[in-house]
Amino acid sequence: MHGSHPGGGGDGPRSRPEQGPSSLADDFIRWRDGDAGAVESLVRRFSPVLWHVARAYGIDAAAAEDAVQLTWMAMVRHADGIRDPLALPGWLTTVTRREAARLAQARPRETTGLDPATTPEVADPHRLPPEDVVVASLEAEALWQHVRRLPERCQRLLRVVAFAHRPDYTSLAVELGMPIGGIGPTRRRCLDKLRALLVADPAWSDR
Amino acid sequence: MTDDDQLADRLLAMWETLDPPPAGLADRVLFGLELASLDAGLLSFTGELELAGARAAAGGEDRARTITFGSDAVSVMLTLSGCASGAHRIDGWIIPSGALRVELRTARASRTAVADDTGRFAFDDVAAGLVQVVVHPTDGAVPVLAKPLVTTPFKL
Repeated sequence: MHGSHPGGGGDGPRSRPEQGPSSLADDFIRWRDGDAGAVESLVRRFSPVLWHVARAYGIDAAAAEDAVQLTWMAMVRHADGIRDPLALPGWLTTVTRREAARLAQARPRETTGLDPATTPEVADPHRLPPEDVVVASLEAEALWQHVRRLPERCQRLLRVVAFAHRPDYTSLAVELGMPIGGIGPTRRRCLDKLRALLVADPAWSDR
Repeated sequence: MTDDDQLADRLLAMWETLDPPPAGLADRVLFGLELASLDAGLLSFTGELELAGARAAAGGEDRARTITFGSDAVSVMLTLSGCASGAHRIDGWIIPSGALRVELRTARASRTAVADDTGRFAFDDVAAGLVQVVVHPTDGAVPVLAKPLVTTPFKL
């Protein structure tokens, strides 16, 4: 569902590398069969996903990086326990969520989940970004002003589900304290809440 | 594509734009993974303090920062100072203090130092780049470690 957008006006500002379960599984099998270089491909392609999953737990950047690091270390140590290579993305994101939830309890939380420092400097006079990047930043900022009003649980659920393409609903349900069958409906309710906020914003309605 | 999917795609783009993974994340992960087969614990990053000009009088270092790492067993405080030559110096302090063996890993090599009884150790003339500190269980030293403890990789 996060594939390319046909006819979407050429190359978008972001290009998403192929990180589907089958290509990650290929890398994983090659690595387990002794190709040490294959782990680099795995780490480079999937660490961004793990980053977003970790940050969904409201932990700061250093803690999120620790969660990502711990996840890959766990894969190296427990590779024999991952019987189905196609299940690797779910296995990795589950470890990241567990580590991030643990780190969130151990450290003070960020209230917003986003560092002010990570807000892009659109107006940097020394290096003006291309126009499409500016537009993407402005839209992202505008959307964030509404997303931040959602309950924390909604923000987390939406971010984890967005980046973990096929999250393990069983463990996600446990962490969010809801029945497994409740994830889909809860996601829909969170999106509805967000839509209601967006509709009520005159500055957004023309988007 | 449903409305929900469209909105979810916009959310994905929003998080990618506003909170992208930090530069070098994968490099640091890969550097740290080289030790992953070792049965080691992690010394997690716990904080950073900038000490502007703190060591300026002591021989040309213009800027220092202190970073701290911790595990259940020990904490490690590292003061990193840069020299005009581009090399760095690392002054470390293990708490609770003990004469533990400390290893400094860089992309090219690994060096070892032994902390004194107050838990202090130092590495001189360290080239800029990604490094990692490993505190090893050491015979006869207190605290007694069950396994090596490695910091998350950090950049000098």
